[in-house]
Amino acid sequence: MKLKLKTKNTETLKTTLSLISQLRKYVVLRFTPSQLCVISVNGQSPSSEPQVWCKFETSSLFDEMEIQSLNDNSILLEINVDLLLQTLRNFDKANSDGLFIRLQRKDATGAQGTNVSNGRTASLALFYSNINFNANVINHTFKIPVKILKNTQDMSRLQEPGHSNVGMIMRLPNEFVSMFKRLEKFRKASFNETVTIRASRKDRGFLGFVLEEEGKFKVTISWNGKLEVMSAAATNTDGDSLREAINAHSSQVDSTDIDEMEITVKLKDWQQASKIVGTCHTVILLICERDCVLHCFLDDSDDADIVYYINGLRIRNPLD
Amino acid sequence: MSLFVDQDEDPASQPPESIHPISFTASTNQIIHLADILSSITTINANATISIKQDGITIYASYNHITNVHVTIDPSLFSYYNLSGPEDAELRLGVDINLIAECFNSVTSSITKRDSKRDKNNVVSVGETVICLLNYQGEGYPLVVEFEDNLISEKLEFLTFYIDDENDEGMAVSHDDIDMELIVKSDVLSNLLQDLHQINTQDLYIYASVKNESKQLRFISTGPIGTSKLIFPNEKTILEKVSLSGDSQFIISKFDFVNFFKIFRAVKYSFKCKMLKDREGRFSIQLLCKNAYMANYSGTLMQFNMLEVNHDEYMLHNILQEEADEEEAPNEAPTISMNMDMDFGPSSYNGVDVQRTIYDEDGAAQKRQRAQQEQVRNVGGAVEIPLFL
Repeated sequence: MKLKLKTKNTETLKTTLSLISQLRKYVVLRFTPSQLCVISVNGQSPSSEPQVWCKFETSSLFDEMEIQSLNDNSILLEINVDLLLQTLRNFDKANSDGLFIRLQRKDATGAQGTNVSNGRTASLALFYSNINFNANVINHTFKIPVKILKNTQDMSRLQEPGHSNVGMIMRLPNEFVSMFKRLEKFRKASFNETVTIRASRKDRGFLGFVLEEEGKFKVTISWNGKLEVMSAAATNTDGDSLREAINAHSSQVDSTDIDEMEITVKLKDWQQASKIVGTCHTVILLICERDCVLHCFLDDSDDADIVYYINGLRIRNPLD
Repeated sequence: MSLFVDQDEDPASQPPESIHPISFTASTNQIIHLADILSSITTINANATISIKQDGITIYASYNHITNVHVTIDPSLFSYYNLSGPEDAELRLGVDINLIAECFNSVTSSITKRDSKRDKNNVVSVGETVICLLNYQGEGYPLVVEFEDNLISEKLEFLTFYIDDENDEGMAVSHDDIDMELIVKSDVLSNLLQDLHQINTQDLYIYASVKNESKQLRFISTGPIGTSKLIFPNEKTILEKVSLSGDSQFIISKFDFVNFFKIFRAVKYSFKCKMLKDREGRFSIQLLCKNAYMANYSGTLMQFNMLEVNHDEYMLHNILQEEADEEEAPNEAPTISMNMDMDFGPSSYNGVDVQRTIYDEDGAAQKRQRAQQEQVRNVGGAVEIPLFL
């Protein structure tokens, strides 16, 4: 197993990590020669909580790389996201010309017992050097303990959820983040903690959020601006096919498309996406039969792609 | 024997509203002002009664029958205000005012954010981007509040409930029997309250006196750090009026500060404050809040009523003694020049300190009052004050 990387600019990785660092303490990094995937997923019950999958092209992120392993040249590491983020920030401040990342086996000496017990048998070493105002070279080395994931159990929980039965695809405008601000107050006020998302392709597209608390209030917050509703057939939602989809939609309406969709999710799960939606350049909401997905692009290039999966709650009014 | 009441049987029991239902609709863009007003009420109680009449909206909340608040909002705050029904029509509803205030506040924060962005482009329209619609159809219906701007529509239906007419009439000041009337500037009062809060005041004494045509108003605090005296500047613009009923030279009122501090948020939003006390010891604070975004609006009136707590004779004596001492040496009063050594009289061994803070206003900079911490002064024997050393 070998992992050697060099980069000059960590801006994309740093921004992405800062968006998801609030979610969980640990993230999984999956390196393959073509792609780096940063995965935030709950270890015990991956399907009950939101998952985030951030994908980058390694060639756009790193200038030099060597990624080798017996497992199809893919390396999976579990790492503390805050430590990694802090190190990237330090590098950013240092005005250095290059950051080297290497996977290292932990030294046999030192506090070995504690390391083995939590499975952090290796460390990811990040090092860079800069020149201070006295023209001295300072070398910085950070070693972050990581756990190498190999067994099949780890692999099975790291299955990217697919979006089956996509009912509705909408592009959310940049101002949409104010919707999250309006919803935020109900996290405190409500005990019910669920929100129903209603979407319709009629007129100019409708997207509304319904919150209800028995005996207290009922709230409907809806978006007034125009929403671009796309045909569900175009599930391939990268930057280019997005634009194609909009054009295609205006010319022909797929008769199989569903006009209205409704899904109930935990308010907390939805609100945690606030920072991602507020920062990303392009945000596409996919409402599926049992879950909803926020597919985001960090900037107008296709380099970084963040997908936030929220599971729907199966709450059905028995009278329906 | 039937479980069901036959509706035709007793037409007289039908309330007249159901024949001519009274309904209320209003709209405004003064959301920031409303948010301020509503959040000032929440300090008293999370639940409040709203009364809607032709001449305005009154919101009433009460805490343990010792403090209550009446807020009167003039119809001129609303660009559209319609209460269908006769002249004396009234709608009463109980609501969770805390929740409503929070909703107004969350909209306010998005207004101020967006407007600050616009300010840079010099396209200013403060607080006018969001329209608020109020609707209430009468008993049994929810209170509907809608916020609408060109991006988001928010429709909130608050369930209303019935609140018994709490008989807090006894707390209203009787205006024929006024013992004391004070009119002060609110920003000085709010700074003073903030300071009293910071020093963990437990009991608050308000001392007002008119001697030889000179008005005096002092806020005396006792708490874990001892006794503190905060002096209201005797200046026409700040201390507008101190009037005591004919015979009395001074009046001291005592309050539990935790309770008194509930008016703080309201004082912050107001610009003028009037305090009244009647012969029976009922105390009332009336605050007039102007609306910065609407010049021609007469202002919203918030009236807090509260009851005094029982006096502590010992402390009263000390306050009077302190005032008398000060009068004896009036020339040393407002200056800081007093020397420690000068004041070490025999009484100093009692070890209890009174600190004075004098509030003054620097004409131009009205923000923060210059607090002159005067040199420590001693009062004879107020030993009940705990000192943590």
